[in-house]
Amino acid sequence: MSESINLRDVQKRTMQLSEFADGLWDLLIGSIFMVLAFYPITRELLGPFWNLAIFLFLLAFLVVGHLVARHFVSGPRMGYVQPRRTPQTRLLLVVSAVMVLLTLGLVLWTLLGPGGLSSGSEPSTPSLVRSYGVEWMVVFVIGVVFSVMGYRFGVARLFFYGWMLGLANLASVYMVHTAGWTFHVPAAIASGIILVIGFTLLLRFLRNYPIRTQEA
Amino acid sequence: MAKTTGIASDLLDLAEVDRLVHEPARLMILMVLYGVEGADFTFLLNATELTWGNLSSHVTKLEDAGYVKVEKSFVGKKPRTMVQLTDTGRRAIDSYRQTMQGAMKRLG
Repeated sequence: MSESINLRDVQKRTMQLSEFADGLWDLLIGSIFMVLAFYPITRELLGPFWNLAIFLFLLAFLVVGHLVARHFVSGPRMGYVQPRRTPQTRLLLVVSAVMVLLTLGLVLWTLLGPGGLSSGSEPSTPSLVRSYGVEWMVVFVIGVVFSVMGYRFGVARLFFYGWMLGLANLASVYMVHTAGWTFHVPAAIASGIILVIGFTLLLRFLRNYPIRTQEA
Repeated sequence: MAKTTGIASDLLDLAEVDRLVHEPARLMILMVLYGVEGADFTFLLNATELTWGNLSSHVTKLEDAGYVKVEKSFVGKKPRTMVQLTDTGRRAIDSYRQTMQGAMKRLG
């Protein structure tokens, strides 16, 4: 036996297989950020209150859809795993939830009032770095949150998602201020890339893991 | 056992290794279960790439030794067999790892 036994690697591979092999997380992340990319357009049509209400409804719909898909599509093919609950994992779960909410909050903040909350409201802003404080904070928070999750679960593409989404959000707000774009094109492209990856993974998953009919 | 000297004495630990854990298929099953609270048969099949019969036979051996706990239930109309590592099983893996790591260190 020449290879060392690394239990942490086995744990990561177990998490990859049980959580990320089906592409459903990618589809959820891509869908949420795609909805956010459309947020400024629908806000102009619906007004801030109804737009937020519809956004929250869509968010709930996507999360429920994700859970249903995991139960009926992924579960019978991949099987079920109960994650180990240690004080460390509980703490990590709470911190992750807070960070995800913070990320969503920050993204919403930048989208709700481009110009209202960030100092990047002036079209003639001379320096990108100094003027877009909130957006740079979003880049950093999303990048770090996704990087930590990528490291924790051993899923390399989450690093890419985090920095891409953060920078796309910054580019979107920049384009709103400088070119007057209402639709957040960079954010939509980034979300589209994630959705394509998610669909590809899902198709590969459905092909590689058929439903097993025999039970022990 | 007679007192040994030289190389054999350095690797004497290996003779005491838990053979129930040492078998590759069972080691795979135990390693997967070590990192989680529990997993069902379908997941273990995908993770270990064993056949139903093979997996079933190894899990039965591990259950008989008290290393894993098997619980059968129904989710809707479908049966589900959950396998969990017991404290005895967890200790067996820890002990196995220590023994193997010690032996590998001495081998260089």
